[in-house]
Amino acid sequence: MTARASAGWLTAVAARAEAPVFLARGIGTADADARLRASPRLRVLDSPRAAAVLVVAGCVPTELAEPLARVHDQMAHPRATVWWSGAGDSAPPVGWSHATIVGPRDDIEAAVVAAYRDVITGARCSEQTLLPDVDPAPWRGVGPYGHGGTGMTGGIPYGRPMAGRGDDRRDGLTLDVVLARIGPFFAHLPEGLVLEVTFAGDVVHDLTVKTPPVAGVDGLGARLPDDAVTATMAPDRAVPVAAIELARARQHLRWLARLLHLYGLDALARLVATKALSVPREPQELTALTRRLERCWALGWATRGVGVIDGVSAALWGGPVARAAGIPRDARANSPVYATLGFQPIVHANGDNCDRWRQRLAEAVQAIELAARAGTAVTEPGETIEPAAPPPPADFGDQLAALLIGTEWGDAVATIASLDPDVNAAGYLSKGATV
Amino acid sequence: MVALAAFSVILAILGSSIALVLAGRWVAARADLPATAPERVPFSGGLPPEVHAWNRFHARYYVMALLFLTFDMEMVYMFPWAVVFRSEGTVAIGEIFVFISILALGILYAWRERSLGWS
Repeated sequence: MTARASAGWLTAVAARAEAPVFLARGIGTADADARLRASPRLRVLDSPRAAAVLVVAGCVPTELAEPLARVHDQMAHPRATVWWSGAGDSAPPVGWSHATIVGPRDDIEAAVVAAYRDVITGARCSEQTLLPDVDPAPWRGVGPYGHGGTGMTGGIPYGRPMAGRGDDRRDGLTLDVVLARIGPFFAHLPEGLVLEVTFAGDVVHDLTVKTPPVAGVDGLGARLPDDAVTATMAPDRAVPVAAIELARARQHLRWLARLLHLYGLDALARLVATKALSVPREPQELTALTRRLERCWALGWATRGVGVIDGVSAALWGGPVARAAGIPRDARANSPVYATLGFQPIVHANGDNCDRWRQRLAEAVQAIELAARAGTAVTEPGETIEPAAPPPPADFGDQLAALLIGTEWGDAVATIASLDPDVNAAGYLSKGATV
Repeated sequence: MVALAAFSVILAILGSSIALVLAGRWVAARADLPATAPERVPFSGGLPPEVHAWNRFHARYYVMALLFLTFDMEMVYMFPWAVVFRSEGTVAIGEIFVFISILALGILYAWRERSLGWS
């Protein structure tokens, strides 16, 4: 076999593999995660480094254009972009004309697979960088290891100072702390959220919210039921209870699929994402899934005792976070129509990541039961609808800092993901999206 | 002759390793895609780093490393024991249990002191 034939054979094999995808979420992409994760032909990654296709879902605000271009440039060659419009605006900004444009109702899976196959086989050229090849400052390295100055931490290579020392929160050994800005397209964080984190090793030494999640982005939480109810969550018209509860189940399952992917349980994440795309009409259809998750020792071990929120903090977060901490606060408990359906709030006790995913799974099952019992029942006009994910508390940044400082970074990311604040909710928007 | 054969195997492994490294460098040199400035920085969600990533951190797993060394050495002592335990009989069995028990006490002590936790 000649070298050319071998290369052709390898290319053909590579083109048939799962397409490695990095998802950059924008506005109007509630089910983008679930649709990509449910596909057996795609592999959604947490970093663009190993991805070959960048999927930009929804509209990207102007202020996020440069970070998005940097994410694009950080993919290895060969690379392609698929621009997946989520809010009817199918025109990507200037500079992205090379991207494949896919409408909100089009087959995103087929488009991504085609883009991947074309770019691997050479039918489509690998995309060039979008940002200029300019360093923020000269290297100016003079030391034997190019450290930019005299001494271990004496220089500022590329204009970036070396790490400084800081107090250690565990055993007092003073070593370096590193400042990093995380976001706005970091997987598992709400879209647009930028954290300024000081790391001491893998422990969060300090944390500040620099930019709140982008208002209007519904990646973590769709309104109830999806687009039918406004963000006020107290619509002036009657809304079918079955539609509300199925939307609630859908959102809980989407969230659960993302959390399972975060913990590396991709097979379970794919199963849950499939359920989220087509919510079962009978609660028994989630029985086997519930049993598998409850018996998954890895998930229990990784989530138990992590990110504990209780007492006043849990009440501030509200919704499933509060109920997972034993606070039975739920707007549906005061609803006449829900009273006729025999609704009782589900609560858990510990308020940790484990109880939060168990809470949402139980609420998804309960929502399907309520939808099945509701028939044609509707809410009363003006009745407050309990959101699947409430808005973040007013002191969002302070709450996150109090919760996450001192934890390991993996637990910190998992805890943020487990909170699932809905930045579209009325309480968040009325505050002008500030923290 | 047997020793020479073993040495030739080592030489073959060494040669293969060097060949693989050289092949990798040759392929890397032929790849005409030099990394640009945005491609060189680590991914943190789309923002450029403000601080250089070179830093010193506390290798907190050093206690685990010491424990591993302890039990690695234990195996060294068990090899001669394995040679003689059939001839020595029950006495050898009892002695090795005492030996392992003493080491196990060390593990229990480390566990109690929370030295086995990653943090």
